[in-house]
Amino acid sequence: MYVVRRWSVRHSRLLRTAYQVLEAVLNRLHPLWTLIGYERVEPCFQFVERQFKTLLFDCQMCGACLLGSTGMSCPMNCSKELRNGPCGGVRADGCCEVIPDMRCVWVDAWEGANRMRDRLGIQRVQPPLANGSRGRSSWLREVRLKRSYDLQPGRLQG
Amino acid sequence: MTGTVANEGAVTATWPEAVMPHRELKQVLRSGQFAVTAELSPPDSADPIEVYKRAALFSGYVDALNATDGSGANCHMSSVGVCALLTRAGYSTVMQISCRDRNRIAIQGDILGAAAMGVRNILCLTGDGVQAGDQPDAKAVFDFDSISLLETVRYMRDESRFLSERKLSTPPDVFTGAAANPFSPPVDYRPQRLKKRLRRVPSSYKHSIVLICPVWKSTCARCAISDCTSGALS
Repeated sequence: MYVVRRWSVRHSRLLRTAYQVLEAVLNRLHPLWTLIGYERVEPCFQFVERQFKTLLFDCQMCGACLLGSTGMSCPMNCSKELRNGPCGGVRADGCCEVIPDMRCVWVDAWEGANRMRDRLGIQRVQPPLANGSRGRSSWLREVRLKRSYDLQPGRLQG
Repeated sequence: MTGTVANEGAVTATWPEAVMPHRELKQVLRSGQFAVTAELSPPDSADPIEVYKRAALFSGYVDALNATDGSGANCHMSSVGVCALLTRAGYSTVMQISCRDRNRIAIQGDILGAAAMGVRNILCLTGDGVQAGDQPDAKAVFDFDSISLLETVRYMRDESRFLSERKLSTPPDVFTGAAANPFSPPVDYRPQRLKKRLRRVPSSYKHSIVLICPVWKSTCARCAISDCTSGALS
């Protein structure tokens, strides 16, 4: 929902902190996810994550979430799905060149990022999206990354 | 001097050889001089002569010719096709690649093909949205953005590999370029975004018109670029 999406950007710092708490809890529960199996728990994570993040951010479930670097403004809502910053066509009023009624997600991202503690994330160069990760849970991916598991689905424990 | 080109083996056309400077665009920019490039609008035609006629207007006046890649999301002769024709006639070319129409497999193939045909400069652009053109129902690809495209070209050139890590027997010897618009919101973020592009070996960056104005000077200062003028003018 567009109004909620804008609210999330205005409260990026609070939401970032909330996610960091959630991430710590999920990391602690790593033995549980291993016991159940990461692949088995994946659909549950996908369902819950989709509900939360669609409501708050109009999440597109890219599977490689950048919200922590983009001021809680989802770059996948950009009409060109740009993950490294805005294109040169942003209108003078800060709206998208393709969808004139929508504020550029990167204009929001810059505002949101300036409200957060870590302001360096938005400066990082992001690689092209791995399209195979679309629809998968970013939360679980972060836990797996933290545990240094290989991202190849065939090689995951589960 | 003239050359010939066979069109489908039937029509043989002639064109005047280009009068171009002896130095590559890279050398002009690296020497700190002001480079001049012109954007050549590709024709809506399969006739090479139309390309040569347009290019002849700039012969002797520019350091390189830019061939646009579906500018304004409208279909024209491909950038790689125009560049291939122009390099045969001795022109120095800048091939534009927009991320709108092709995925990473097609783009990496085009980079190799262009380099094989003598293209030495590649300008990495995001591209206009498909809604801007006359075929708004087309699928917008945007598999890359301009920055990941730039990184990909550099990776292929410097590491001699595709993104998949597969080895290239000969890497593309190309000079990379990017575009920047410091006047578009969010203005404070623009220098950081330009810096993302310059984070490795500085290449060229292009503005449609480079104005040495306070905004551009401040953008350069914030990107730690010492010479404001060494952009490409088109």
